[in-house]
Amino acid sequence: MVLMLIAVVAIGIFALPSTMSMFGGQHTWYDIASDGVPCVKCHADTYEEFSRSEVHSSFARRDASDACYACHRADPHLTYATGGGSSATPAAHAASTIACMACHEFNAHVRDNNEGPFAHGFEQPSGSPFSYGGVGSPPQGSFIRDGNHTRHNAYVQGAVDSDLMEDSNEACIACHTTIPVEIDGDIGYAMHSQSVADRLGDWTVGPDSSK
Amino acid sequence: MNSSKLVLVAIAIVAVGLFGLPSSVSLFSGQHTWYDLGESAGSDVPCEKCHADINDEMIDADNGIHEALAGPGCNCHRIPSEVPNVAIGGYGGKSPEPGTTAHAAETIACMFCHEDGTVFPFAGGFSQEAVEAAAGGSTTPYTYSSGGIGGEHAAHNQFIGQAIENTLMEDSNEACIACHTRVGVDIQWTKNVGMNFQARENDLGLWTVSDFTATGHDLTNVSYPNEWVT
Repeated sequence: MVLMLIAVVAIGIFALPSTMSMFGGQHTWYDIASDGVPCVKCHADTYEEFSRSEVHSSFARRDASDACYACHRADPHLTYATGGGSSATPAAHAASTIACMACHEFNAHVRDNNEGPFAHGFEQPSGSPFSYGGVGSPPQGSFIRDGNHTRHNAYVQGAVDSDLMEDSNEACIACHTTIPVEIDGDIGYAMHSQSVADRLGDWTVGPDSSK
Repeated sequence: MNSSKLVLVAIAIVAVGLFGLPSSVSLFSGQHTWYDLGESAGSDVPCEKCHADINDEMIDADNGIHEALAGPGCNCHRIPSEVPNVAIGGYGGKSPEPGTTAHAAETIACMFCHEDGTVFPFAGGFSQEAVEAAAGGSTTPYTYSSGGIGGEHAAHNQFIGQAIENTLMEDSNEACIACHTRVGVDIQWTKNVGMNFQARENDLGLWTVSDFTATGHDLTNVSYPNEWVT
């Protein structure tokens, strides 16, 4: 009997402090009405990249979660879950994936006036809700109004058409960040033309109709 | 047996009785006095009797929410309903109920209180479609988006869906607990490192750029300590 009592007490010493909840600390919540949930808890590596970035690093000088929210809560039309109250109908819970052009389109308007320089000079791609060409008032410093001579229009259009990322983010990310790219190129290697002389000896040079 | 031996035996019996009788044959004193199950909400059993550590978390000054739900009731685990999930004693003229899914307390999904349409704050903003698509065939009875729409751009849809699929905790509780409580997290991220796409030029020099994919992988560990036990 004495041995049994000692065994029960000994088990209790180790087992009772965490009783039956799966994790210690599981029943103490962050106050989402004040400090909120710390994004860096899971995304410390992303914040580390952000802090070392040559652009956007001014966001990282704020509270860590605010730095995340500068982009991932930028859309002023979206609402997010907040603490307190019972009538909140958030369009996104904690954070949204965001198009780079949300901040960098012509006349961008984002939360906290964080809009960045206009990434101008493209022809307007179809299927994008963002303004790429600076239609209307001259954009800041732009001398290409409609982007017809921009070499990367097809690239941006392809990125908009892709559903890998938001809008044309594939193109923005590939060029403007340090990630590597691997391109399977199918590039023309010869030029064909058809030169035809008329009865007066005048030449017309045009596309090779046989090709 | 002479009289002196009888006296000694009597003294021995009385001596044994002095120590043995108070607990007679019950294992513990107090074993035969019960808590009243019918005084208030159907159980006055003090949960913190065994779960004082959890109650400490609940009533701690750093606990941001749910303090009012602390013991003795542990009300999250005894949600009132028309047909009681847990056993309750008779009170207020009601008969005792045996409970249906649990005896004293049940594990509970956070979304039980925080889905759309309850009186508690709605933890919404997810895409119901994306969440269920990520759940790998597992289903959830809860509504994650307002009126079943919205949340298409929510960054954590897949996290929620795969927490639903995981059987460690109820519904998507793994995700709720990881983000909203002070438990530590230890995450091994496997992220893509490069972008692959095709660029094709036609006879007129017009380009088509397509087939964007992410390639490669990089392992990164993120560890965040438990802020309660450390």
